[in-house]
Amino acid sequence: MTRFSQYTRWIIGVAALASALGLGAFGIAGAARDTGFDTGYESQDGYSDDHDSDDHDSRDRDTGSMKSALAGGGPGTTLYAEECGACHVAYPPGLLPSTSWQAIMSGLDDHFGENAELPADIAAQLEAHLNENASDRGDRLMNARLLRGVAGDAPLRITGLPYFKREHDEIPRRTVEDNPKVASFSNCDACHRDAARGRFDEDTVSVPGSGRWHD
Amino acid sequence: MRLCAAALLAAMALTARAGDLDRLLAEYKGQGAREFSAESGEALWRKDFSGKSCTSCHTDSPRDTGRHDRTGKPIEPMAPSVNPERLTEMRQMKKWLLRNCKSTLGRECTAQEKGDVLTWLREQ
Repeated sequence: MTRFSQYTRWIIGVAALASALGLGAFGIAGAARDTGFDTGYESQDGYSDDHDSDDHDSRDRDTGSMKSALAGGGPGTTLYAEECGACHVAYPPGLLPSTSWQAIMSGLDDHFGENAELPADIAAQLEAHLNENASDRGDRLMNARLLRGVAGDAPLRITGLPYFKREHDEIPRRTVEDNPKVASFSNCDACHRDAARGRFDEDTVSVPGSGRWHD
Repeated sequence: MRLCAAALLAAMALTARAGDLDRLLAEYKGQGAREFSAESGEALWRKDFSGKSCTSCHTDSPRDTGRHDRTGKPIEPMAPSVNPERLTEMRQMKKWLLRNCKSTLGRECTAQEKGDVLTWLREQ
């Protein structure tokens, strides 16, 4: 074996090792980039951060795709959270069409059995907020999905929508009705911790007493 | 001097806070209420109206955190001693007294009833 060939073999060996290590590092970096998003979510214990909502919206084309649009926005957002959110989760306006919100706002003196009357000026601001962000003002596909199989044009209960029932049909009684920390499907935010912000994707679900939900 | 100004500001803030409640009580007097009674207010708080009462949501003690009887949402204590925000805003007091009397008693409360319950609550 000449000195020259030994030297060549050494070079080839180093190059091969370097390319193997490089390929490995590239693979690990790629994998980290793919899962970094989800890992970030899990560290929040069921909650999710706002900063990556746009990424997630474009990635997820099922219910998750609508989660930011559902809550809507505009000048009435804070008032809505304060007034309606005082008694129950501030249901994202994008879950019902404007006909529904108008019916609800015109019957506040008997609001599902409770009196929820408001001074006229506040009620008008809230009604405007609801109308601007109702499902028929947002994603047409989502609106059609929400209203599929609905009797009449102004459903009053989100939990009564066939769409809602389909989405929740696998959930056993012990998880919701028989779970004292949830009690009713109306308490969206008992499990969907980000419900008031219009986020319902599974990453944000955490059932009280049994932790993260997996379909 | 600076201390004086701070004390004055604090006093003004307190007056403003008590102001709305005093104005509301005066309004009820103007509607025909007699002297208000904390004792009657407490009795109203605990009175049963066909299975519903103030305590259904606010619990027996206004110093405790309540829970909406339908939705289960927590309700901050009503007693100003533990929740200084309470009984400070005219709009809030009027809104909730209207809603809750109608929901619980099935009718609006009289000026006397509202004044009594507020008079009792402010001492809590």
